[in-house]
Formats: sequence, C-alpha cells, structure tokens
Amino acid sequence: MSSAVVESDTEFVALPVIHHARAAAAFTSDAARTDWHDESLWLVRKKRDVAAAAVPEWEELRALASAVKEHTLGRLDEYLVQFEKNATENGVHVHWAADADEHNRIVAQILRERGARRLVKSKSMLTEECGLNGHLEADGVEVVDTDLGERIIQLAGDTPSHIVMPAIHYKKEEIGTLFNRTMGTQEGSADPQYLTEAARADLRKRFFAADASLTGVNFAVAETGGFVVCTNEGNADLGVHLAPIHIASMGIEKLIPRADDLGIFLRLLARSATGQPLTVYSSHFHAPTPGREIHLVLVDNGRSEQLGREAFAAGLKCIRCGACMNTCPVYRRSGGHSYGSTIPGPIGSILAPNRDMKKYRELPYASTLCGSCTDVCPVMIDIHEQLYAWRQEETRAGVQPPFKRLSMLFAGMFLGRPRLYRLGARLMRFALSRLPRSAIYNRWNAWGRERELPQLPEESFRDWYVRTGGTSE
Amino acid sequence: MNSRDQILSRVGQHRYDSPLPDLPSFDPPEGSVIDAFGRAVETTAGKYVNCYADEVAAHIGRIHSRADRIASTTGLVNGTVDLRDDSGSQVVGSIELFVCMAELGVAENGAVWITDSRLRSRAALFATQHLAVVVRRDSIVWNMHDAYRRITINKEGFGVFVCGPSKTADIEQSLVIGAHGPRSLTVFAIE
Repeated sequence: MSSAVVESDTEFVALPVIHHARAAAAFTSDAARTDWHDESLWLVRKKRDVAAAAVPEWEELRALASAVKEHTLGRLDEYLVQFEKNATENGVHVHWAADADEHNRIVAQILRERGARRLVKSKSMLTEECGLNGHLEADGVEVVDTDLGERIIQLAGDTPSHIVMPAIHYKKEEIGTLFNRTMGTQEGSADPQYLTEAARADLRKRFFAADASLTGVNFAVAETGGFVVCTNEGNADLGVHLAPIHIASMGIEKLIPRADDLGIFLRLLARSATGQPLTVYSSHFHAPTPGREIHLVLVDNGRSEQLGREAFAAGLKCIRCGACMNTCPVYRRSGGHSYGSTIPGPIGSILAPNRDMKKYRELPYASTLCGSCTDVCPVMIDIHEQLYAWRQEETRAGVQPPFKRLSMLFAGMFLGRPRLYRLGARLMRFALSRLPRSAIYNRWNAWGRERELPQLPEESFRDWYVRTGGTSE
Repeated sequence: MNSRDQILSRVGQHRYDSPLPDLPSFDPPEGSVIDAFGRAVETTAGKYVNCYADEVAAHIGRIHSRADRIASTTGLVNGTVDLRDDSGSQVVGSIELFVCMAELGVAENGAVWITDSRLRSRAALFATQHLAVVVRRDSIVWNMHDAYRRITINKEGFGVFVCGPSKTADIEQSLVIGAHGPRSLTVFAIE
C-alpha cells in the first residue's frame, strides 16, 4: 500500500464523486452553528415522537402502510394503467416521462403551447431532482417557488438542505438580510412573523398574476384517478385555483390502490414529518374547474430500474416525510448539503446510489448504522440495512476508492486468519504502548482525529480467557 | 416504443405478488368524540364554537366584527360579497372572511372535509384572509379511516381536508400563523 495510490484517488477522481465526509468537516468547523442545526432538527424529532405516541395503533399503521406500498409496487404496471384510465376519464391530461429531461420538455411544452410565462410552483422534490427551474428559465418562463422555505432558497440562489424544511440551515438574521436585499424589508429585522408577512404580501401578487401553477403529488389513487397534495401554507392551492393551468409532477411510485388507503398514509405523514396530526391542507384533485386544465406528468427517471433491484426496491415506498433526517445523528451534524443529492439524509443515501453508484459512493458511509432511521420510518423501509447493503454492493461493483478497498482487503486477511490476527494484535498492543504520539495520531487514523484512543487494558480478552477459562475471578 | 409503453414494460418486468391488506378500523377512546374534535381544532390553532345553527351569524359578527367583505356559501350567514362560479380573482382576492359548510369533521385531528359544492369558488377558500367553517355535530367521525369510509373522494372534482389556519415554520422553526392562506380558522359545530 503506497500513499501515492490514495493520493491519486482523492486528487484525480474528486470531481464526479460527492465527498460527504469532506463537506461534513467543513460544516462542523463552525461548532456553534452545528449545535444549533443539531438542536433544531432534534426538536422536530421530539415532536414526531409525541405525535406518534399519541396514536395507540401507530405500529399497526406503519405495518399497513408498508404492506400497501409493497403490494402496489408488485403490480405497479397494472395500477399505473388503471390510474391513467380513470384520471383521463375525469378530464385530467396524463403525460409520461421516461427521464428528467423528458419531464422538463413536457412541462415546457405545455406552458409554451398556452403562452404561459409566469409559473408559481409549490414544493416538489421531483422537480428539484429533474432540475426543472433552470430548464424553464432558459425557456423564458418566470418560475416562482411559493413555499416559504423554497422561496428563501430561490432568492438566495441556494438548494434545499431538507425535503420538508428546505431552509432549515438558515438563521433568521440571514433571512432578514436576504429579504431586505430582495424585498426591501426593514434593515436588521429578523422577526419570523414580520418576515413571513413580507413574503406573504410579495407572493400574493405573484399568485394573482400567474398563468400556470405546478405542484408535486403526495399520493395518487389508482381506483379514482385522483391525486392528493399536502401543504401547511396553502401555497399549492392558492396557485392551483387562481391560475388556469395546473401541472402536477409525480414519480410513478406515488400510487396507492384505494381511496381508503389514504386514511393510513395521511395519519402517518404529518405526524412523522413535523408532529402535526395532519397537514393544514390535504387537497384531493380529481377534475379541473370547468374551462381549466389539469396536466399530470408521470415520471420514471430510474425508478423502474430500482424496482428491479431486490435489495433496494423498498426505498420506493418512501413518502418523503423527512423523519429519518431529523433523527439521524450524522445528518443533524453534517447538514443536508453535505450529501450532494436532492434528497439528503439516510433515505437520500439509499436512493442516490440507485442513480449513480460511483458518484454517491460515500453516502452509504454517512451513517453509524444505528438504525434510528429505520425505527422512525412510517413505511418501515429497512434504511440502515440498505446502507450496509450498498457498501457491499459498491465493493462488488468495484467503485470503492483504493484506500477503502485495500483496508478492507487487509482487514479481511487478518480477521480471517486467527494466528495472524493474534500476532497482529500482540504487535499492536506493543506498538501502541511504545510508539511516539505522532506515529499513532496521523492522517491515517480517522478515529483519532477528534478523539483519544481508549486506554488499553493490562491483559487482552483472549489472554484472560485462556488463563481463566472464561470464569469470573 | 413511446415513453408510456417503455415505462410500463420496464415496470412489468419486476412484478411480484404481495397481498393488499384489509382496511383497518380503530375504536375511538373513551369520552365524547365531539369534545375530542373541539380540543383537536384548538390544538391546530383554530377557534372552536359549539352552538346552535341560528347562533352562528351572531358569533361571526362578534368574532369578525371588523370584516366588511364577507363571502358566504351557507344560508346561515349573509355575505356582503357576491361570489359566483365565475368570480374573477379581483373578487376572490378581496374577501376578508369566507364562510362555508363542511361535509364532515374528524375528531382525531380537528380537520374538516370541504368539497366543490360548498365552495362556489375553490380559490376563495385559500385566498380569504379569515375562514369560518360550519359542521354538523352528527357528521363528526373519530379518525381518518372513518372519514374515508364516509366520504367519496371523487364525487366532486375537488375536496380538501382543512386542519387549522394556514401556517409555516420555515424561518428557524418559529410557528407563524397565516402563511399564504387564511390567518384564522373558526370551526362551528352545530346541532
């Protein structure tokens, strides 16, 4: 093992690969801010716990939700056809997009054909995934994100760091400065009530002037051909009902079979996301107001491929509540941007490698495998097990960086040969007690970068076991 | 092959059987479901009034004494704004108080189910500065499962569960009531 190998990897393959650990190190270099971020999210996690505990049948609901999704994904082709038929009969225009680019072209074409230049948009992680805003802006469309968090992000020229709370990484003083610059709010004012009021007034003008609106989709119901959009602010509905054209973008995995299945999912979604019993608005769309249009774009963009990966298909059950992020000790202390993918956190770390295993190879390591994500997941996705499975998958596919490959090779060699292991352990004990500090605490010792190694006991476990036969002394 | 057929064929390659579970039913806790509904409305930052039908107008006059532009789609309250199916955004945008009936209330979360036929204008429900919703006490169910059993979501083109006034916590997790939609919600439960 030469250090040159490692160097060349980190230096030359750096561009296409997301370096979570490096980005996280930059984030945590501001300790006070890291603590603040950590605590903000932990607060949301605690609210979720209170809300979940208030529902005696919580665990049963999780199991039901998981089973409904499991069933639906197994016959997704059937449900998609059923949904399309019913939605079309309701008067909804259904479009199909194989990938992000096709999705963007479809949306752009709908707007172009109708001469729509001003689009108001509610939160949609799918359109973030597809990079829709940039595509439309290049086409001359004015795109306004209307969810307050998304609006902050848009004005700042930033990207969301959380799927439910996109601007969770901003302090109110920073938003005050941003609003002062972009909306002319009072200088130095950072009162959330005042800033929200300013955004309300500014966006209201844009809602009333819009030619078209775009929303995401939380759930689509096969048996009725309708879809449900959940928001707290009312921005999705204000946009949709004021503008003559409503475009809804949805991933093909958002389907559920029956209207009554919504009872299960709506009971879980808001409680998991923010600790509310229900989002303020759960809007059910089936047909447009006479004279208006609803377009629904069904997007694949890698989902059908993921469905074919047995170990990872369950990730498609995700209902985007964000609970796994709020609970994750790594996410809370590394920030959403460190993941370099639209969906960060534990769920993002098992979804992203489906798209590009090499680019996102570090994400499955952005976890302690503590399993808290799996415990809070309302649809019981085995997130931490998939994080572990991705690590193995990466090794099999040969996309691990050389350092990781070699260290695993050596670890395997030692751990698989008891004699060699014992000899190594003996040498290690000897070396640790004799070597100078600089030889132990260096760049290769990632563990020791922030911590002291534990004090070694006088006697190793094996020596103790051989001496006593495992009986207590 | 077009994208539709391509997606369906790719998805169709990964079919498997997994049973669709039966829909659940959970009993309400001890005590009055109506009272639970009232408490839930207040938890969502809504105002709750339990009264007779003919008292609603007086309550509204008291709570919203300063509202001039009132649009009402229920006979219980007289509006001052003439709201029609084709009312333009100028009319809709000027509404200070919107009053309508809900088909049903949900006790576990304080939500009310409102559909096209009670709205006259979908936009009015969200563009109004304040919202008052009237629900009959005998149409209050315990939880969302019961609600979906009772309603038919595709009976009308649009239906919505409204659970409290519009709100946001996007600035440092500070709760602000009145994001883009109504700044307040009053729910009347009537005989």
